[in-house]
Amino acid sequence: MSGHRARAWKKRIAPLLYILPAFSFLAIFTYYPIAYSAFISLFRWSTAYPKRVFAGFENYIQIFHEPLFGVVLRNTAIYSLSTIFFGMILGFVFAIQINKRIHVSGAFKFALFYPTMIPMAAAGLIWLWIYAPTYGLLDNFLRLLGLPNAGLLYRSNTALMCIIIVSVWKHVGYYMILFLAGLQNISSELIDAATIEGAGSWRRLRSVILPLISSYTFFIFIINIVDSLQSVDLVYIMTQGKPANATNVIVYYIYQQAFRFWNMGMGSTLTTLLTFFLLCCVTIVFATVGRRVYYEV
Amino acid sequence: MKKTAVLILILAVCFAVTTGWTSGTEEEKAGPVYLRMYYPVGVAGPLAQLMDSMIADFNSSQKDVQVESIFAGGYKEAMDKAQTAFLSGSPPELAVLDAPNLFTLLDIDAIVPVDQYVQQEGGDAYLSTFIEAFLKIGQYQGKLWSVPWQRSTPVLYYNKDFFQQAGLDPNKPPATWADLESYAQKLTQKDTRGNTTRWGVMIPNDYWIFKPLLLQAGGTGDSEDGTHIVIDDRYNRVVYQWLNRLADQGLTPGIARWSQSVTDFASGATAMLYNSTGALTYIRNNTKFNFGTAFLPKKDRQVAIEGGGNFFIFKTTPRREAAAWEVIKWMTRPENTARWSLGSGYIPVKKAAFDIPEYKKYTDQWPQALTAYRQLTETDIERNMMTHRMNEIYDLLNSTNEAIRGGSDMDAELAKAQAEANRILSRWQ
Repeated sequence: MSGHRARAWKKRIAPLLYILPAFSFLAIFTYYPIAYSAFISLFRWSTAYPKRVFAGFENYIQIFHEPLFGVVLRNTAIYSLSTIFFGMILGFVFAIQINKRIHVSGAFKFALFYPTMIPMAAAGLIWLWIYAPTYGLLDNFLRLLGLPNAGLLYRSNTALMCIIIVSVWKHVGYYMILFLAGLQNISSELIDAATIEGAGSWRRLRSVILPLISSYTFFIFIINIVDSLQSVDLVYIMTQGKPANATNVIVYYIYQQAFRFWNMGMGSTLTTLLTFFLLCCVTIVFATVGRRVYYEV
Repeated sequence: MKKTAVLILILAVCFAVTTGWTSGTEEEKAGPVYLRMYYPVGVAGPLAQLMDSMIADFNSSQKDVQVESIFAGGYKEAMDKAQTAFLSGSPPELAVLDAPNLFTLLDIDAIVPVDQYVQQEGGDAYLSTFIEAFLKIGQYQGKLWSVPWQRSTPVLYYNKDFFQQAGLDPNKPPATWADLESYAQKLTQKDTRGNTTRWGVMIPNDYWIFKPLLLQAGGTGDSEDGTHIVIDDRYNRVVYQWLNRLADQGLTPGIARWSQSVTDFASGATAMLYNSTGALTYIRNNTKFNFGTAFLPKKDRQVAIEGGGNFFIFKTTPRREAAAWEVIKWMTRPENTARWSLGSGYIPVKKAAFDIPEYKKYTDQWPQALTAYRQLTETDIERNMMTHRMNEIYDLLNSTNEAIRGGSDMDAELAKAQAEANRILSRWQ
């Protein structure tokens, strides 16, 4: 009797013990900081108020009156939507092309995947040199074509686009590999059957390939949303939000508020808002697009 | 049994870590004091190596104080790190920071004054060994809060070879704004399509360069007590209109980054450059052409500002604070400040440094190195911009600068920036 009970207890407790190490790390380094920053966001705590003062939701109201916040939101939206859109489309197109020609040269595959392997800091520096006004690679090239000096990274209306290009260049190889894995998982019988039924290439793509790789697409979409909203490294290395905040995106703005201005209350407010927004995004995506994803069993 | 023992061990470690049992917060009573020193590198060049080797020399010169020098990025990043470290409870004992961070550091109550140590060394007699103009920014409410270290003024660098090619006298740098403009017109090179291939002059979008221009035009800028700053006025407009006129003629880029502009000058992408004298050694080592340095061209006034980094002692324990002073005392010895000057281009902070034979030899060979010092002693010098919530004001001023010189509407930007600055400083107004 008691042996039975002990076994039942073990059965219930053992799994908890197994996840304990992973859970403690998550708890200490993820859940606790999230909760703590949500807590701090309720305080006025900055270099102007070094002793923190409880302020309720003051920061949450104040943030919408910050003139810079609107600019940052706009930049972040443009950055995220463009990197998601172009990253996924290009990744998919390259994957299709490579999948079609199994013997595509290794050099081509390497060239596409290579940027993924470069550390972000190095990638940023390489592109800084490419974009350097007057003597940079890009401006030299434009001059050869008889076009004016661009200095694109230094102009407020093109700087963000420059960073988007680098980000897409950096990530597209990774998405391509994921798409390629999905494509190569489709058994050729299905494609052949569709072909015999008279489906053209567009029809095959729409009715066979896309549904079959939807679980991959879904995964790429999710990490893309999270990646793009969280990305800050390129901005930090290449522009630091310059010129005139044209490349200031949300995570850089959080850094600026929290560590540069030491406005911890505001920084935490922004962090909490971002966490909440990401959670909403992912939930919505799971509830809508996620339902229609086909998982091969 | 074994499992239980392991579990207890793990719990014990967790306990130790979370309670700070292992962090040794108890003040050691004997043995050497270990200090951490944050320092920035504010100009182009391998200054971090020089700083680390000087600190290593300090460590081996005695046994009581051992310093770990920690490179903390540019001036901005160093201040970000220092204030974050302080506010999260583990400040460095010592830091070199941009001197105008004083108000912010006082607002968060992070630093201690150095007056008691100065008294030990002989009070005013000791202070008088420093170059006076550099002490001013550390003085507030009758106390001295920081000690000058890497100090500078902005100077005008110019490429003598380009001057000669353009038919200009290489020993006659531009003395006024009007000179600068006409020289730049001669020095700028454009291709057949009218694209600039070589700039006449580069003027980085940094308030440290902007403030002297503002003063030269008759303006003021920030108030002495750091509570007000004037952005939306006639004088700011005079400066921006002039800068934009240069840019419209293709003589200068609207956007020029601080350290990038030094590399640009060294590589011949621009014929003249406004930058810190602290970039001198980098330029000296990385140019194949002859170059000169000159006072900033004047307009209504011949005036410049001082700038650069000071030593700050953070609030820790009396023993550590006293040890931090020992480091400062050693580093600012004439021979060491001369060594730093030789390796960087900064002005030595001690008068006696100029009499050291090795330093004399250097300035004889490179008279360009004396321009900043002469500007400091022969022309009007005003204080660097210094306000409360300095980082916010500084970023605001620089992004306004980039916006206006990048083509945004000047009046709107100035009004917007003024409103924002007033809001940032409202707690003190």
